[in-house]
Amino acid sequence: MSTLPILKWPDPRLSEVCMPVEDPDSVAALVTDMFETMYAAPGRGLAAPQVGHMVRLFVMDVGWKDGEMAPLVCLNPRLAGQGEGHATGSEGCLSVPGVAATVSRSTEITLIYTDLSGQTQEVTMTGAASRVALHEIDHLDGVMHFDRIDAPARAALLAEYAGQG
Amino acid sequence: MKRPILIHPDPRLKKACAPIADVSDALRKLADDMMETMYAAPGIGLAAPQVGELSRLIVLDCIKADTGEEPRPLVMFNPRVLASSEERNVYEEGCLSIPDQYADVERPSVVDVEWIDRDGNPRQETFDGLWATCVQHEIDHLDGKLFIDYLKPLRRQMITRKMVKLKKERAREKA
Repeated sequence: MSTLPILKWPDPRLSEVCMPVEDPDSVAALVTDMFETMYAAPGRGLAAPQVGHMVRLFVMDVGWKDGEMAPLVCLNPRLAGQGEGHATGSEGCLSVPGVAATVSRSTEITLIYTDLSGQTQEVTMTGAASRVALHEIDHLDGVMHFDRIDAPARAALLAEYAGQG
Repeated sequence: MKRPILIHPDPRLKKACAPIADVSDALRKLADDMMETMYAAPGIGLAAPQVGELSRLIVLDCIKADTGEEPRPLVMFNPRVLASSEERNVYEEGCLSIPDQYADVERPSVVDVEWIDRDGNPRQETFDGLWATCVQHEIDHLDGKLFIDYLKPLRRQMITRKMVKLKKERAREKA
């Protein structure tokens, strides 16, 4: 087990679309390292491209900071449904440290994914979990949180990020 | 259930897909989802990689909706062109993964195709006209090939740039 270096924006790999995981066994060790990296960061979600692996997989644990561990690993996730409701919330990203984007996201989603044993799973998420999962799925498509806000807000965020030097 | 259609450029649209060993219930469900997605788009053909599944599966129906003719939905697992005519045909092609872009593409005008149908039975048929173009276009998808790969590089790059822009706009709109 080891923590992995987290790629920082503007690393070009963060803008790329990732390929499906073909063999769940081949990513078991990576998943272990990604959890360790996420908890150490500390963060609530981490997508494989953030550690330089261009495959469709993310890990999340939306409860651990509040004392309730709920680790989840999703291979080849896809959105099977999105509720009508949206909520605006502040999002950080381990690849864009020190700044936050205010993003509107669905408050309820249905996610279909493959687990580490290769089984297809379906789960409904709400609230914070839904926000984290949508943020991580975006990473698999090369989309950052600041790609989902308007141009002036995006420019301000990137200027603030650059200004941290 | 409708599936989101991937927009070019996407590495999943450039990859050769794996043959299907068995027509399982999961694959039948995927085929049904693809048919629903195709009709809703609307389109006349759709290949599995266009919904992110790298399996050799296409669906098509080239009967135009407003002609009153019976629809003819075809599901093809492991489709393969057995023979193509020397005679060639030009159609203006488009693609659901490259929205609103059209270009003339020349292909054999008649093809013999074999495939496994939705019930797992081997089938073979000769296609001409729009059906021939459509089935070849969809089979190309299973080999990671797009209709713009037949165009001159400059035209292809121009279309690709437009698609990159479109994807960025869609990310913002969806938010």
